[in-house]
Amino acid sequence: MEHLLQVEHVVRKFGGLTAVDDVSLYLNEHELVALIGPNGAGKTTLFNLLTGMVPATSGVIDLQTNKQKYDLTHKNAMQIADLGLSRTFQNIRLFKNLSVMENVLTAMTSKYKEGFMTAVLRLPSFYRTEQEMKSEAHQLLEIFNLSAEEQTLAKNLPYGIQRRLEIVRALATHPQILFLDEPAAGMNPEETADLTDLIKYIQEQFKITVLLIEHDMSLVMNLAQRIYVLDQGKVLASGEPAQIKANPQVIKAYLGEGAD
Amino acid sequence: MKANWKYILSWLIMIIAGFYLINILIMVGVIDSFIENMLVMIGINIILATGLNLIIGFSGQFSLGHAGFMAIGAYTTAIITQHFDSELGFIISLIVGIVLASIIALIVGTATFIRLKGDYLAIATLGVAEIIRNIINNLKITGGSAGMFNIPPLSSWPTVYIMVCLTTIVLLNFIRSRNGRAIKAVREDELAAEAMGINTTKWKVEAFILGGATAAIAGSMQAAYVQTISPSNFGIMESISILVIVVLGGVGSMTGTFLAAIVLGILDTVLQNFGALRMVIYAIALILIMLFKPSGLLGNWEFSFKKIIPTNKKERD
Repeated sequence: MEHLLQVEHVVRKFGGLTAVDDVSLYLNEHELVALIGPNGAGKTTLFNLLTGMVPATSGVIDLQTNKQKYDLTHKNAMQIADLGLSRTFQNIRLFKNLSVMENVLTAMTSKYKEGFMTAVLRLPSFYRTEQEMKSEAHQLLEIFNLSAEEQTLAKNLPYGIQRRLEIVRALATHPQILFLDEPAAGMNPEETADLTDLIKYIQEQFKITVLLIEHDMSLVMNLAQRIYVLDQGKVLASGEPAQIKANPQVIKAYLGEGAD
Repeated sequence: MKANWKYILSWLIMIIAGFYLINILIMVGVIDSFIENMLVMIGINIILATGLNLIIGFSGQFSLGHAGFMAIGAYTTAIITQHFDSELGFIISLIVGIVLASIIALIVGTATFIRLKGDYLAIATLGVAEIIRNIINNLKITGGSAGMFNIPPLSSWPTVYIMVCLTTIVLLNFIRSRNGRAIKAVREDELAAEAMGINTTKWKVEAFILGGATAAIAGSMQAAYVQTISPSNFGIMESISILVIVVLGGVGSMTGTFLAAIVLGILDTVLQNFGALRMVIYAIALILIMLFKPSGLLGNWEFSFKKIIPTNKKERD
């Protein structure tokens, strides 16, 4: 069976340091996969490789979609985003001085065409496109309970809502694969539980593949269908949650004794 | 759509009222040629500074080469209208100036924006403006360092007034569209913008071209109004004085740019009676404003009829 995303023997070196060392993994359609591992294992670097923020030193990344094969290895972040790979960031990177609404609309920039002249001369098609974009943004914000905050500047939102908005913004690009980099970082157990439901909901309702990096094991074990464990740039283990929990190497390197 | 007509109408009324107000004041004699000259200079500075504010305040790219684009417009108009001394010649020269400035902005923007940011970009754009000035300085057709004289007086205050309105409408429509959101996103966080599929270089260059084109319009207006231009008019001091207007008004506020251009224009005119002290007082005024209002006169606040006229349709912002 062809996988949606196939990563083969990817290596990334920073000077003398090999951050990602010969990693191979795959993602299937509508799968929810987690990437775990200790700090400095290369998880975020791997995300940066997959989303084109950093070029790979060697290796191949292939996307199989619409019966076509795309080699992502030499594509930049913008081209990869256009192919339907979207992400959030470990340190929230919203457009801070733009409103919630504008943040979502901005993510739709490349999905809606609106020429320079139509905008400057305010031709009827300008109002149509704006209307379409806004109503789509409204729907998204409605689903994620952000309607009341539409005009609030992103920087003025509470931390947890900023994280949620970042996910909404990523969804506004119509992704096939959503990469979530530590979505539960800094959240309390209650917020984490809400987030778990939210991610589950997104994966089912939007019919997308999710790959997430997370340190919160309760969230990972609840959500993930498969797990990759990364340690010192290498894939230490992979498999279903139950297998990972029982893997002695993983327990030694990351989970620690007595983890559930 | 219906709600929008209210705002469009409000703006239209304001533009026409402004025009007739100035017209009447000139007829009554309140505005003499001295004040009229001041108004035209303010208008030209508004065109220049709103264009630069688009580049600096909205797309977040630090450009110090605005005077270069102004020079392109000014010399194009001077050269063309000396051969075709008519309204049509002036309009053609305006268009040629815009096209030339856009092409140069496209080349410079594509070459520099991919690699350079912040201070380095400022120096590169400054360099480009100096190159333009030096080319003009050494060409025969531009009159060398002596400049050009007896340019036909094809621009007057109504022309400048109309061009101020037109360029402002174009810039504001640009900012309040998908284009404007994209360039603001690039300003806010380039990496995140790229991850959202936004072509950051393309949008930065587009804003730069639009800014450069408006600067060329201002240059054309100046050449046809003052009737004399020389390369020394378009040096680094001109670029900086446009930058001062932008910073003083508030980086990212077009309303602020208008206000700052008017305040500085009046200040400059009033201080002409103080002789040598003029530049000192001018500088002190700038320092005081920056000390007490570091974000500029208006920060990033914008005037809008939508804030004044209530609307029941919530989704219009």
